[in-house]
Amino acid sequence: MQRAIWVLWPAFIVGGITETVFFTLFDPEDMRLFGEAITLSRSAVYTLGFFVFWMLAAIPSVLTCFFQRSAADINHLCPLEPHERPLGCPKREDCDQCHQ
Amino acid sequence: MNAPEAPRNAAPDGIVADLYEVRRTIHPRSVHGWFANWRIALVLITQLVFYGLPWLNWNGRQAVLFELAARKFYIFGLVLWPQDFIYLTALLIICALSLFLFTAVAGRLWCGYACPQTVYTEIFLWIERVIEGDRMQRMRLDRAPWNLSKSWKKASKHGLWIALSLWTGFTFVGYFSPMHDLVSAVQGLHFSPWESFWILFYGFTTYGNAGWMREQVCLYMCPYARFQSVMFDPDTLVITYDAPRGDPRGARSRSADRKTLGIGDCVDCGICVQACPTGIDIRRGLQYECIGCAACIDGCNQVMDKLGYQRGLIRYSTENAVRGRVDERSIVRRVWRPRTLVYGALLFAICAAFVTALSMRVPLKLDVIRDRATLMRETSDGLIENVYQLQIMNTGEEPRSLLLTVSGIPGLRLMTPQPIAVAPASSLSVPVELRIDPASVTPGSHAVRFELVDSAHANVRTTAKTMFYVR
Repeated sequence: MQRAIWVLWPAFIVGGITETVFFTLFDPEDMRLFGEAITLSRSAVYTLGFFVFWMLAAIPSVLTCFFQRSAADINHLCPLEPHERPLGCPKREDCDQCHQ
Repeated sequence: MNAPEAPRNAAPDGIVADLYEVRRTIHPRSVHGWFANWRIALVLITQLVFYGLPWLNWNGRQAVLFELAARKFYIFGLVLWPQDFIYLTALLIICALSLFLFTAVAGRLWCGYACPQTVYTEIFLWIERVIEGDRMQRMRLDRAPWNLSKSWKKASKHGLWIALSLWTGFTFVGYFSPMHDLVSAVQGLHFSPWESFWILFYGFTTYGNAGWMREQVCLYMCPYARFQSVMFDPDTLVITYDAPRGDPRGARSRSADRKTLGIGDCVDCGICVQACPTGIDIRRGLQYECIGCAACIDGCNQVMDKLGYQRGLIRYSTENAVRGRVDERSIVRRVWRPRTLVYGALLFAICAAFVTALSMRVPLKLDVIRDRATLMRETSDGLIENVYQLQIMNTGEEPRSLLLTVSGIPGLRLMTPQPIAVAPASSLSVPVELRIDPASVTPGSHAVRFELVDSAHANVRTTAKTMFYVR
């Protein structure tokens, strides 16, 4: 849940700014999608555009979270049994504060 | 490998380390006083403006309307087009600089009194208080088992919250889509899906932020809360606890002499903490969680009055004054310091530029686009012709009759019927042909200039440059 907020909230701010700047400069009625004129109303394009920008802005945050994972998070094969692993190891069986 | 047994949820050193604090609901105690009255006044003023403005009319249309579908912004007598983006940018810079100036002078005035998050939380808390009672009653109700009375109270509170949120969402959309159309859509129950979506979206955000998230928005989500402290300096007015006067804290009877007891003025009643909407203890000094609402000042003053002590154990003061570096009376004089003067000068300069630019703004715009298909062509009577598309925008609120002229090459002829009529606040695309006798001009490209003049107002004129090609 907290990770979702980490990703979605900054993206919401950036998506809002991008939306404003983009649609100030470009009129949806002048835009073409694969060579075809867009038949949707401006309100529809603004709304859909906002979600596109929001989701695009979320990608970098998702990647940041993804690349932040430690080696222990990524490695699957460990020769030690879960209860034998050292204290603080995220894969230790009785260590559940390591997983957020 | 024999690892020592450790309790679940324990860090290696044996201290329980939660990754983030589990939120406890904060039930701020209601307080009365000078600052509380200011907050109520600000809630009323801002909401009167917010809920009322979309219903005002001006020149037969909505007075303030950011009509996104038509790409036109109406602000009373002003009609802004996407080309006028610079004015909105200037307006945003003015808002930001004002915020910097207010923050440098008196801290988080915006957060404490005018921020929508504070204002709606205040309104939602007021509804909560009317239905569930004050702090103690609300805490008791939350702990109580679910029964008919509790369900009824909770349901009516959420019902009112949702109704207010939907009304807020409706008003918000009314700034972007004509209110008149929205009202007829409600009457006929035929909402456009996009408008309904945004009403629900904004309504849900209001309900979530003011009903559930509350101080968490300020603590974890607000970017301003994170950087406001860079505008602070030792002469900024902030809400402070007078530690030399208050400490050591301790309870006492009303008749007791604090000097013989060896304690300060703070009775440690905790009302400042109970009144705080973000749940902090202001006696620990300035914290980023403090939104500057001054509820603790009012709460503490109530206690000081009861005890017959001087008010202002918690008060607006500056770091320099509290530490005794400067006299309390010189706080006002020290408002004028380099930081505030720089913010003030910048603000004044941008405001002046904004007003000047706005008053000199010509309510007429002209864009020239050359015909992309043909650079030039020869007419049947042997003349060279270039074709252009003129985009004429009348940003004023009256119809105009315009005269078009062209200059740059002697003997250039304009083949467009005159005058050109343009409706108020609308744009017109006019095809224009220019012709010239090839004998009177050298081959190559020549700069030409179109000029558009309002036939009724000679000062309403605009020009646009383009090229004329001759082979």
